[in-house]
Amino acid sequence: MKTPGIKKYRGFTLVETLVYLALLSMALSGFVALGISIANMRNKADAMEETNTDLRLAADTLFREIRLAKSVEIPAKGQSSNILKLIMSDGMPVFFSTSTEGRLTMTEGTEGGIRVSGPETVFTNLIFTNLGEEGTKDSLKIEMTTAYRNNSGNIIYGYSQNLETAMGLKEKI
Amino acid sequence: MKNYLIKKIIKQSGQSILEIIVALAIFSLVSASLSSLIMGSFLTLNRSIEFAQASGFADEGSEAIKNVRDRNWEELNLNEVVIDSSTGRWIINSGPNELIQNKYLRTINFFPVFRDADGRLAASSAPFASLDAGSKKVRIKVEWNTSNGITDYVERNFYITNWK
Repeated sequence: MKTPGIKKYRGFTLVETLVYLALLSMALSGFVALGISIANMRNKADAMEETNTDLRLAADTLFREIRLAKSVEIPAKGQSSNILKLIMSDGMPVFFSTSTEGRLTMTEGTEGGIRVSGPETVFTNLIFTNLGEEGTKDSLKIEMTTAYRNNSGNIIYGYSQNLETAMGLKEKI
Repeated sequence: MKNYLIKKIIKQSGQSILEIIVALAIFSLVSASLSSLIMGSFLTLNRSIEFAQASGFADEGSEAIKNVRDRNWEELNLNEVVIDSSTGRWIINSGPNELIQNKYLRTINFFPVFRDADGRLAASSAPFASLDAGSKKVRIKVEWNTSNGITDYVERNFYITNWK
């Protein structure tokens, strides 16, 4: 006999439970995957921003000093070097080099170098080439590569960018 | 009978398949907009560094040309040039363009300069315009395909003269 209302005491069948669990796990794994990928992308974007900003900041500082310089002592004309020594119009030397931890360092005068790039990036490549010749102005080609200091070693945060340009000194020889 | 139906409807507290579909649809809408937001920030970051790199290559071109001009004006007697710095000095060779880092296409063109009777810059068709062999107009264009699929470029235009 079919009793009205008996249905409401009925539990779930095994198939219903399985279907429910399948749908639930799909939804949950979707949530988790989204959460993880958002966190990863955020960190990646951070790494990119940090690297790009440091590269541009370092480039801006370099260009500003080169524009104001009177002459280039290192590298000499026709030479390449990973340090740059400029002589400013007041005769003061300005050095650019990479520190042992890979940060771009600028030293005005003889001591007290300041870090031009941030702690989260490494200058993996920094080459200055003086393409000026005897009788022409110093002309510097600058190649630099900055990488994110990826302490975690996680491949998704690995990021590096390079910048290559050239710049002549303003002052006539 | 009517009471029973109402009671039954209230008692059904589980989710219907329709509700799940609606929930999943909302979830996918939210996640799609979140991912596009983040992808958008990637594109912006890439575009800004691409622009800086392309400007670097354009400036490299203009420095090379200015340096060669200071050395020997006659070397600039070309129309389309490419730059070579591998020998420790700037060398410009004839060539239509060069692909740098497999991404940036740098084209450098020289254009003749005409001047009118008063020595001012003039169009070649202007009356009394004559070719000024001691001046050139330089156009440097660096083109690349951006990460969001369009072609962008930076351009430098300047005049160089044979006056030291």
